[in-house]
Amino acid sequence: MSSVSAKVLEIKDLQVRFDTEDGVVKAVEDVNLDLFSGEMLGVVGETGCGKSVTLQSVLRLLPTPPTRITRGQILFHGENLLDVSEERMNEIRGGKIAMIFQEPMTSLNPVFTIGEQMRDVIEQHRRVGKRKANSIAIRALIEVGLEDAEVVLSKYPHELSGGQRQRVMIAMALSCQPEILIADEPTTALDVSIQAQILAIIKHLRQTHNMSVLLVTHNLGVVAQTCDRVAVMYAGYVVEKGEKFGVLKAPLHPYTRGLLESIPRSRKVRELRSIPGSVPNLIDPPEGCRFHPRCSFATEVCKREVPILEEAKPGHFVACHHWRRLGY
Amino acid sequence: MGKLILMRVLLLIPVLLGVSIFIFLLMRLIPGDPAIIIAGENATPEMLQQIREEFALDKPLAIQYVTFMKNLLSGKVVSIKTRRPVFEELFPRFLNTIHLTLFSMAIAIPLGITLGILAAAHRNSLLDNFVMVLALLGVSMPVFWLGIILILVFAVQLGWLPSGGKEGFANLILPSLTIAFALTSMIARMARAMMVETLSKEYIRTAVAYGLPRRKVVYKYALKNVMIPIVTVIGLQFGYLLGGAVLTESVFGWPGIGRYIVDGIFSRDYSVVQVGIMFLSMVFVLVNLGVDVLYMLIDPKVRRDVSKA
Repeated sequence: MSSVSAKVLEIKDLQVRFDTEDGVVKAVEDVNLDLFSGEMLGVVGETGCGKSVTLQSVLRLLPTPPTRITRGQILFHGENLLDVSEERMNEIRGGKIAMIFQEPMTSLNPVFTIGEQMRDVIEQHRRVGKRKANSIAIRALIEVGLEDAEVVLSKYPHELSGGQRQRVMIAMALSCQPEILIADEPTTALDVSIQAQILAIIKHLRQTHNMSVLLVTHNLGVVAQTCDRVAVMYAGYVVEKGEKFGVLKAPLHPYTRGLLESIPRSRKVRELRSIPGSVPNLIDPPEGCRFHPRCSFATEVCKREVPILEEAKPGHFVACHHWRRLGY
Repeated sequence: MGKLILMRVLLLIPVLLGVSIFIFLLMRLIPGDPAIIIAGENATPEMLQQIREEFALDKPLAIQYVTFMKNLLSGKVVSIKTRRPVFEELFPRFLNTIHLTLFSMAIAIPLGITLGILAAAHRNSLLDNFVMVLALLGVSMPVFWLGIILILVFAVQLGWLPSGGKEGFANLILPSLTIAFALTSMIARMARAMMVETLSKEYIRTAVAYGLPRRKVVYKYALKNVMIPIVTVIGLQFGYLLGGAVLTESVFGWPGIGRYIVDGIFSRDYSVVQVGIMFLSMVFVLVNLGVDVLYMLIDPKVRRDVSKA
């Protein structure tokens, strides 16, 4: 699907810094990601790898200061979102690119009803009156599986379960017919049984509404179930990206391999492996390849030079000095 | 909700009983004989004895307490010093205090909230710094000192306003401003801190992420959340001020309830102090009840908890 469609979003050479009291956090380094029309791209990595920062930069949601976007472009149909006015940005936020968050508990305002919050968003983007906004909200809620939509509209967030709240968030995203849905760990805070339902809803809506989806997760299983392509991030860098099956079946980067090996599998009972060490401190990250202190294949060159992201196979990119040695 | 209010009003009975015993014993622990203080050093033993008998001061404590409570319930407690019914003296003074409190709050609440919210919405701006320095002055300056300065400037130098008394509206202005300055500062600091905290919440990020204009994010989505803690502070201050702003009342010679009770303490007028403190306890409980009702109007979570209970 992706090879023939148009690019809707292009993140180019993005570099993000946080100023903290302990020093400058080098959170995102030269990240390049493309999102094609109608596709679902998974962005995977451990906590603190820069995946959420990258995606929040798209809608300029990070507070400045302390955040500084020091380099790069975020092109939405060729329009650089890092340059546009706040007014234009507010048309895009929700209207063209909608976002749902990890914590459905705290992502909705506790002192307004669901209806009030949804109507405000709909009226903002669709130039309709209150009554029309209400019926749009009801339709969206039904679409995400909340059948008693009118009751839900009159409820406050604390009166709903976590799964219902996340459905409300998705309905809110849906209600303004965005082209892109950014889902920032949408299932992490939910029960396992609810996770699958939420993913199924996102998958379904993406097809019925022809949305492109950027899904951030630390769970490779979620990627395997839902995405077309995947990008793996480590310590601020994209270290590997490509078609889902290429990356998951034949990973080229030692970090991706480590991630895959650390997934528990019930059928084959074997020792569960983990990646030794932990995510580096990004105030003073390792020189060269940021993964080298944890990598069993690291050599001298890895300590000196940052590996560039190169196309190892058609559509499959990797940033490792030794991918040729490691390839399957 | 009606049930909650009824419960809280019924709760007043044990609270007032406790307060009455506590303040009764406390007054008797303070050294000094009311008879001597009221009749004077040169009073004859007969005169002292007469006062003691009249107010049952020579009886055992238990009898004294029962006598007091009987008189209280029949509304006949009499001031040892003036021999007039305490309620007759107390109510006009309480009304004066209410005037002062309401007028101060009418200035301080809108001004404090507006300044605090504006400061938070324009964080680190010139306005923010100016408001915060002013508010710091307001909460650190002793009220009696500010009161004296205001008298010096507006009463003595300029002669625009009276320095004290309670003849008319003009007399209300300086003491109200004195109280309002501290109160405005307190509310502004609180409002700013709460607004800054609220603006970093995830639901605010959601509102921003859905393209709502900043005006709406700050003045609708954040403000309603900020009002919850602000109502708490205002409620506490309201109850506190109804207890009489003793220092301000003293500086401006304002005959409020605070000064009335303090004078009662100085002259060991047991009746005045006991009735006064019990009355203020009741007011405080009722004000808190009012705050809780307000909570229910603002915070849906409280509303639910109440309806469940």
